[in-house]
Amino acid sequence: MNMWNDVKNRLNPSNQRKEKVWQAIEQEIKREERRKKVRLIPLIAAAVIFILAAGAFTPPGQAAISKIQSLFEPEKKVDFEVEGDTEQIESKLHDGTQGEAELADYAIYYDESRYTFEKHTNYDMLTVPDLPQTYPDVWMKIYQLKDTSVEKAIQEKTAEMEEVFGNVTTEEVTSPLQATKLHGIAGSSADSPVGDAYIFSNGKDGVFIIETRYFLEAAEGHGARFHAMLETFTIVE
Amino acid sequence: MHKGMIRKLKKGDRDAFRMFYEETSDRAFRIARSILQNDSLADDAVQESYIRVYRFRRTIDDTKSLEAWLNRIVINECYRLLERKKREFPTEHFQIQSGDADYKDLWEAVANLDEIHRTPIILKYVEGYTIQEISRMLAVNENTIKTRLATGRRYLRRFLEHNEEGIQ
Repeated sequence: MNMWNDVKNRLNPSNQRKEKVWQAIEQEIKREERRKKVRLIPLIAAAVIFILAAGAFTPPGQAAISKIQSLFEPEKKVDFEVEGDTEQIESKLHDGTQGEAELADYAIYYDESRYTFEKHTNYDMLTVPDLPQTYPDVWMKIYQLKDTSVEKAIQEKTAEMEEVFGNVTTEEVTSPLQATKLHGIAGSSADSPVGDAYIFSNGKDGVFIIETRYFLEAAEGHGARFHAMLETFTIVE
Repeated sequence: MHKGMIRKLKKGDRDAFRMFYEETSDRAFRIARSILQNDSLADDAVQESYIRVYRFRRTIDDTKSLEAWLNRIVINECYRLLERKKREFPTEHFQIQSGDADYKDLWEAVANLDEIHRTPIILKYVEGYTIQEISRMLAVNENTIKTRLATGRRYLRRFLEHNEEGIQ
């Protein structure tokens, strides 16, 4: 027997252990799906009433409730791990409904006490209200590119970021979401800008690009908060 | 796993997910157990990793290896657990399968390596990944992986200097 095969055999799980873990995985998935259904029942009922009422009373042109608002709670507690401490923060749903077949709808929760989220024509942007002008930029921008491959988007965004940050690293990440992450830092002082871009498929022949900016000293603050908020990002089919 | 099954998995087909687990979990366990050297934590890491795959199944990129993605999640999850505890876990809660008595020394040598050397050694020699693949999985550059492999091999060689077969 090859000696490395022996190491492999020693590390292999027993069938019992594999089955036990599978049972736990299945249970957790079922639990999550039940939780979703339980949450959805009153929300769907409320949405139906709202839609009926909106049909009767909403003036023409005024938006009715979106799919995202009917699927997600308007607020929920999100764990933020900031500077070594975990705080649970009541976070607000940002409705990323796009209204175009080629673009994916999405949902994300954000800390309303610190940030505002605004919809613009081609992107949504989270900013810090009243950020002093002397402060470096702090924001998160979410947008999609139609008919673009992930590879092409990575290439273009890397070139764009290299102009700002010089060296840009590329990494496949699974947290806060599954994406290719580009990362650059322009300098080493406390106020040096830090830029991240998460690029991944939107499932519709296009890509999502989520860009964040903060500064070196704020990595443990805004950087960690952005990370926690991005963990709640969900594409809605 | 062929593309048809991946498409089913993306749609939330539980049978496709089970098949994916059957095909990939041995390796996931081996990686988790080699990093954490603790059975219950390795179980937690594997469990959480598959739950994450299922939760984020809609974002699976058909053009990339699903197993490589899973392995990265497992490794990240193991490091997250290590980071949370900020220490090496005691190995007394680690039960290995029985092996060939002739290779017991190698196993002991591997088990005694530091985690940063042990993981690349396992990924290369047990799992058969290339240096480039290991570099992507561990998010560490290729030269660092080469150095860690060389250091790991040196340690193993010293440990096994009386072993006839040695390290190739």
